[in-house]
Amino acid sequence: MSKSITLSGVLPAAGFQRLLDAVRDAGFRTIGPRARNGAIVLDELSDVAELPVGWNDEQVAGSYRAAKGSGDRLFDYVVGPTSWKRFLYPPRRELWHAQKEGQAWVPEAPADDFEPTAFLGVRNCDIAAIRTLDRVLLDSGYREPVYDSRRSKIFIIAVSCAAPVSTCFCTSMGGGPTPTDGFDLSLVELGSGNDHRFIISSGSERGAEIVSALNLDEVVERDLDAAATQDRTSVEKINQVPAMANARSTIAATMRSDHWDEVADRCLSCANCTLVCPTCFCVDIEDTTDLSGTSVSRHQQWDSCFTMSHSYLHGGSIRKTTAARYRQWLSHKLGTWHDQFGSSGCVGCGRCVTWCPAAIDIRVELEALEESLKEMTTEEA
Amino acid sequence: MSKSQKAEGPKRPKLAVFKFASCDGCQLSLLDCEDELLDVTGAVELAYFPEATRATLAGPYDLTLVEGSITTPHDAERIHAIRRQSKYLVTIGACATAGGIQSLRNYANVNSFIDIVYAHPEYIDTLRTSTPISDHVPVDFELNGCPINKYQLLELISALLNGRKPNIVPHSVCMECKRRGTVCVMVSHGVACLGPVTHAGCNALCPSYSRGCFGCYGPKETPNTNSISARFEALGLPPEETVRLFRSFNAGATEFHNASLAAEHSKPK
Repeated sequence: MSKSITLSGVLPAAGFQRLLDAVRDAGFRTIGPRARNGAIVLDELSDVAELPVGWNDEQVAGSYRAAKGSGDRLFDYVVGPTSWKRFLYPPRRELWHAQKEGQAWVPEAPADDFEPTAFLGVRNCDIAAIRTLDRVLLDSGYREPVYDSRRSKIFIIAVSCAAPVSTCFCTSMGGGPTPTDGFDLSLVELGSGNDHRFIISSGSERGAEIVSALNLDEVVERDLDAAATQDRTSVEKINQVPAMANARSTIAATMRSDHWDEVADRCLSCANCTLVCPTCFCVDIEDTTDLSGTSVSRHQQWDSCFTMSHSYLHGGSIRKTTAARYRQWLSHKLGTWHDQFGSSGCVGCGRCVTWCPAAIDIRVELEALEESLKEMTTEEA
Repeated sequence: MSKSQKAEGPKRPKLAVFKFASCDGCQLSLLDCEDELLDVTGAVELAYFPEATRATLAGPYDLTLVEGSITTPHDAERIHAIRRQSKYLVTIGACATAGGIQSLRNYANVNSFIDIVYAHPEYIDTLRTSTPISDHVPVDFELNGCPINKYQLLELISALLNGRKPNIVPHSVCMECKRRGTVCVMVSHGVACLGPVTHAGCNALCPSYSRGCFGCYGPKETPNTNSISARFEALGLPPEETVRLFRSFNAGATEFHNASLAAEHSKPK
């Protein structure tokens, strides 16, 4: 919050390439939304034409459909299956390897070759997710070295959400469609056709520096009114989940609810929810040798609390049932995360809802738990 | 390095490869380890591997790889003799691990096939079922897949040689899709995919080509086949298609077998 947000100006959409070029000239490669296999994923891009121009998406529990429409807007969709976690905290990486030379082992840690990178089109929920990962991987007594190093190399270009979908619930997690901090630049896309433009705000000195070269138009009343209307319309479209306000206490009080077994009837324990989640950080460590036993390496890769091996202690897994594993995930995400890291682990991006092959909706399950709590309380009384 | 080790000869553990009812694809994946093949022969002695060499050594063997399922009375005897000769016995592939595609015979009367296929059915001596090796003898490790992944085979051999646990995990194919960044074909296109109930190991090959998972690696740990079948139905897949999905290379795997029966019984009359 200490960094002040400055309204920098208005960029006509026709000049969007100038922004991409300015970011490149400042020494950043750009990763942003790209249409691929019928979905909007995050990947490298350098040309405005590589953005999903005119694309829209529809998302409900267990279903995602994205397609190119007739429009010309650049960001009229929300988050897809990729999260920024993929780039800051990669799915698999080598921690170190060692070679046996004579009788001695010579260890070596590979250098991380992550280049300075601009994240383009970061939604407010994903800014919150990066902040959540910061608390976990940087501010809780241990600094994860690769995350730390990559985090210092990113330039965040946020964008306001103008087309929320049914799985969005950021407003129930303290967020909203328009980023308020945690970015270098922030864009509000307005209008279309001849009137298509972006209000650009800067949230850092380097952000202000980059836009200063763009000769932006002055922001006028009409732009601010349009932005306010767009924000209001988006807020109205985003689902409110009142049960989230009491999630922590609801879950703490329903650890023995029958509802966990009911979810487990549907849960596939496939781990998709945890891997699309922008804040799930569990990893597994894998040690390998070559055939001759003279070369060894250690890798870290994304793991999930939905696997048996995640809770494996000497003698076996301690969370053998899917009910126990689903409960572990939800109670950590919405409950004990507060105790551990001082916030909820959920930012309301809705990825776990959309990308669950069994169409399990975290919001519906929480509401069902709240119901089961009422029943349990009535029975006791 | 490996060549000098090869010269040390006698110290190398003895590897044997035996074949039962199968297509040979899995054992060929050992020969398919082109870049690593010299390292393999440097690390182990190919004591019995007819696909690779006519030279054979008598048992006992340190590591025995068994391909194929048990489909004849003769094989049901032979596997016991092999087990007695083997320190570690590892099954390779869907046939040896789950009965293979030939376990489709378990759903029909095998004599009806024999009459159609053979001019002189009286010469054929076969069992009514195709069964996995583990139904007959204790098995130390099972490598899934149709065919197996050669890197998993190398990992297994490396692990045994170095006295460590192999990094071969029974979680879902979905985890491989998500790690490699493949967009979920079921969620984004409504394609029926067995990935959520299937054992990882192929690095999610089919979904990376926009195809649903065919379940070549068999059931994952704790597979929820009821839920995935219900989801297939919700996606509009007819029950007979669900039966076919579960009844392929791993038709004989218990969880897939039960799922195919359940889907069969849910067929509208």
